[in-house]
Amino acid sequence: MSNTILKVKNLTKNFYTASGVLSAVSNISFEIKTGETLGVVGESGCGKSTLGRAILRLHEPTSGEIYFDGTNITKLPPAEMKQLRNKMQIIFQDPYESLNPRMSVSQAIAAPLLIQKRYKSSQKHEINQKVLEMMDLVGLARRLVNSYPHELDGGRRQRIGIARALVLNPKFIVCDEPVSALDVSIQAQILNLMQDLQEQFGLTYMFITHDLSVVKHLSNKILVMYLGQMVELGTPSQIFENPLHPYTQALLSAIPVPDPNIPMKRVALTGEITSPINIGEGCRFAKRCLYAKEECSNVSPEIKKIEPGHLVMCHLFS
Amino acid sequence: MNSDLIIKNLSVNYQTDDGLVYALDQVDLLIKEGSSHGLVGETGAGKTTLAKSVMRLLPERTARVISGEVYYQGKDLLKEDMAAIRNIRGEQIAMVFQDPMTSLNPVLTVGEQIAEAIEVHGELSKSEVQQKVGEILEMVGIPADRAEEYPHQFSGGMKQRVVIAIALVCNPKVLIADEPTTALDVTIQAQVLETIKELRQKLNTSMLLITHDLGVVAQNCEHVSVMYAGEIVESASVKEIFSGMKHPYTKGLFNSIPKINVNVTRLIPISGLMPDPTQKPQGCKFADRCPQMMAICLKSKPELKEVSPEHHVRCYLYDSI
Repeated sequence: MSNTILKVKNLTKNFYTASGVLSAVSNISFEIKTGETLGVVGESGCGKSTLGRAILRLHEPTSGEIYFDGTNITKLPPAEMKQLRNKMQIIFQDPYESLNPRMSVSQAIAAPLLIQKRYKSSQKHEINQKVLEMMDLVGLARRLVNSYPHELDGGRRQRIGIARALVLNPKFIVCDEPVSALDVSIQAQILNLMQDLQEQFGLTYMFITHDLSVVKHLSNKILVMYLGQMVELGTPSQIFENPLHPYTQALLSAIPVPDPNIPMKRVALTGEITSPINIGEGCRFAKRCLYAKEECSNVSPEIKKIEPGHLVMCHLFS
Repeated sequence: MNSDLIIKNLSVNYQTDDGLVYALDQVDLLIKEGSSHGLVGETGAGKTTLAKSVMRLLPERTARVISGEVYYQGKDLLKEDMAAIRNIRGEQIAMVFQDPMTSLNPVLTVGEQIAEAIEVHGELSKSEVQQKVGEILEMVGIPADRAEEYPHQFSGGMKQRVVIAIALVCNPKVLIADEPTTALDVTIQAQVLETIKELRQKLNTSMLLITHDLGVVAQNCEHVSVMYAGEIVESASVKEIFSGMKHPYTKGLFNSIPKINVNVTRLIPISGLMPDPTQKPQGCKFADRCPQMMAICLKSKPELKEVSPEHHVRCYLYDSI
């Protein structure tokens, strides 16, 4: 147990909508080791953000179990869950929408400290010291301490988001598309910052993104999702050099390579992601799959271990 | 007649409460008939302002064209009256906007919106228009019978195909695509870019593809211009720029992206931020972020110089060549 910080078993999250049951996360299991990064990739609507939020219980899971540091936290009562949020934090996608426009930089960074009662609100000096310390850590100039979000660009706003997540000294952070809203030159600054902080504090990340190049760059393990299911899990070299699932292959082949001398050999993927509402039995990718057989649309494939650490859910391998 | 699109010495300002914003500064660009030209840069570089200038879509109250010409088929588009421009828009030069979610009218069927583009430019009978709507929908990969449906019944990728259908239904000679796939997932992006490529080949349409994704440029364009703070800083064929990029900003941009085909343990970001667009520095606009900055860079602005055939760079590092 020592090395595994997070263990997720058969996690399922359904939403009950007017048009039927929406299966956002279906029966997903994985583990993350301390100090490592799990990259979660998939296209919009595949349930990757819901997975991240269900793990932090920002969405209550429908079924399944979540173990953090060896403790089952799936049914933890609110007071204990609040305690646990000292150790589990989240960085949100859009730094334009995830900050309260009426809170200054120092208020935003100090808020978690007050909520978790690390300091009393009368301890102004101590709080201010901590805020400035965090600002130095994430590379925000101290002169911005009383600025409001609208005065700052996207990169700086995301640095606030990171400072706010780190101020409680957590062990595990769900990073939900933290660089998607940023320009490429700023994106690199933030990715480097996150790597440095991980090294410095031994943080464990669950990094959610649609950008496969980013995931390859950062992750120790990659989980590929399609319509709520985990279709493949492996190390970056397993996923990128030997992608097994037809969806992973199609996804990789669709990335435009920044080199005109490497022409794209695209695995033609027709159609678009289907609706996750009232989804039936069978492989969820079958309708778009080049290799679909009759059994694919009738029977759900099992998750198979192909080699150590490399799992795939596809009838081609059963 | 030759259908090159030639932009010369184009400067555009916006008047705002914070003062003048220098959006475009003496931009030169040539899009040859039938070719595909990528325009790369970050938010605020002036890419969209450039596209809107060509289409005469700049906001009249705030935008001012300070200097420059946009030549197309012997005419300066900036001097034509609005009636002439309306004839050119759609029929000669068409535009695809970034966000398919907001560029379609939610209360008209997609068929009606495509038909509108045909009716503005032609004298076709109702049944001929309907037939043409069906044809172009099939061409972009949408079954013709879906013409009766409304935008909300389509997914993001399908909506962008509809927008492309509207842009291409009159067989324009030039297509200006402003980040056409930025809002789409990669597998859908690949489908949409492929559709554009096929249609362009069929219709011999040239394209100005505005994007921030160097991968999209590498795979879809023959030429590329890199913009920074309202200026073209480097311009060359795609092959040439990827094998020998010269400007420190182009190099910085390339080193900032994690690459799918190469392993790097650490990215090399460009330090600092884009300059304030209300300031017009004396020297090079990239100087304060440039790792190779020299004394002269702060004193005067470098010119766009040819370093090898058809490869232009705006940087003092290559001045002696």
